[in-house]
Amino acid sequence: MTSVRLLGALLLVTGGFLGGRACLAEYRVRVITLRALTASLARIRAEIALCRTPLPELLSSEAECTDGRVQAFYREALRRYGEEGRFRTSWDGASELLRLPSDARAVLVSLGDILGRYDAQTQEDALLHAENLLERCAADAENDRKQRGTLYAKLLPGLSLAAAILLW
Amino acid sequence: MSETARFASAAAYLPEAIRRSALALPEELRARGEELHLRLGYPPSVTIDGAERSFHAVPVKEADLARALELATRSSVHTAMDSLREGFVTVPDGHRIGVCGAAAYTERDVLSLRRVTSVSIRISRELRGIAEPVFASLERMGGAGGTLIVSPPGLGKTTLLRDLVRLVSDRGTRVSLIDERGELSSGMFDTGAHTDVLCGIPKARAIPMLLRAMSPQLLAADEITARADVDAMEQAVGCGVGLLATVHGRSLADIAARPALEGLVQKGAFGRAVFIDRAGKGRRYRTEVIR
Repeated sequence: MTSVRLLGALLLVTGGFLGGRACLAEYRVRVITLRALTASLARIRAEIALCRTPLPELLSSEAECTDGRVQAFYREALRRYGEEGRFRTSWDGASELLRLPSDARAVLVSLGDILGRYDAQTQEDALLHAENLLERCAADAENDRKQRGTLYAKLLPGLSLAAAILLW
Repeated sequence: MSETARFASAAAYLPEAIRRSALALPEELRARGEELHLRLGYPPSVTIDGAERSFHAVPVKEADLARALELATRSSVHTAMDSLREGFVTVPDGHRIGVCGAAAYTERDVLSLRRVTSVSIRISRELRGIAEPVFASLERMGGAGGTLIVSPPGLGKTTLLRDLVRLVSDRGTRVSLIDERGELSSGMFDTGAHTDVLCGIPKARAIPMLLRAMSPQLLAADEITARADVDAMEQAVGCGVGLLATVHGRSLADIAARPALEGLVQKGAFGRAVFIDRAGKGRRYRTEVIR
């Protein structure tokens, strides 16, 4: 009976510890994704400014030179565009894969309304604006990681330990 | 590529529902299709043998025109902004997509088309060998250099020019081809073994570049309209380069009535004109000496 209790307590504490780590990791990935996305938009802006590169080619090149969720986003956008031939819906649909906070997601969706539909200068301006907003989102996400992420990383194992003791 | 395949490649720039109707036309009509038209509030139509006929019951909506433009620019209007200001987009298969609507202006220039009301897809053709009788006739008159191809819009000036360039080039003449709108070569038409193509640059800028870089024996260009084009061509004539060009018109009188062209003719830049007329379902070519 004691060994079953011990096992249950161990599982509870381990679960709490892993939950805390996963929570911290998610906050970290969110920061990395936002920064990678901002850098990617800057590359797209430069390509449009200097070479007037078509958007499907930009999606393709970004799918090659990024990784993680940003790469998954560009690959999905490119796949959808290949099927539908509609940029905005492809962009919006794929953006779910980034799992961004709502404010950052809104920035990306509004960018989808402008990319490919206006002259190069208007798109450059929109991209620069989006980059600035996403940088702010990344800074907020970094603060969240430091505060909430660390809190959850400590709180969840602590709570699970307390629960184990109480249930013993 | 067959005529029906070219029609299908042009129809690919139509919105999906309209495209299905276009592709459901009888094969014989698709093979003879010259242009596809979308006009806001009216059913889409196709030009066959110079006459338009509707092929889809539902009138065109603004969303259809926006969709056609999205397909034409591959969702990247910025890649075609300069040519859109001139009223057209050229797509990879060489089709020219004309766009009409309400323009937005800056103080000096057209900024963009604020509202698109018409889209017209001119189906490009490669009729290989079509220029052979004209070429033979020009050879008897001293060669293809110094030739103007004259016809009203839509009768095949560009198609004839492309095939003439191929024939001249394949016989060893070094030809520089100015393909301002990407219609003449578009990477898929045969323009000959000795042809250098400069694409997407206005003629007035392209001609000095080609004279400096490619030392052409013959300079070929489509649709001379602007004064600046004519000035650059005069420069080429001064360098001893032969000219082969197309111009809108019906007769020698039309050419003579254009002050810009008059100077070129007087300098002997153009000694011959090839006129294109509609003859039943085909075309008739007539070569005349310009005096």
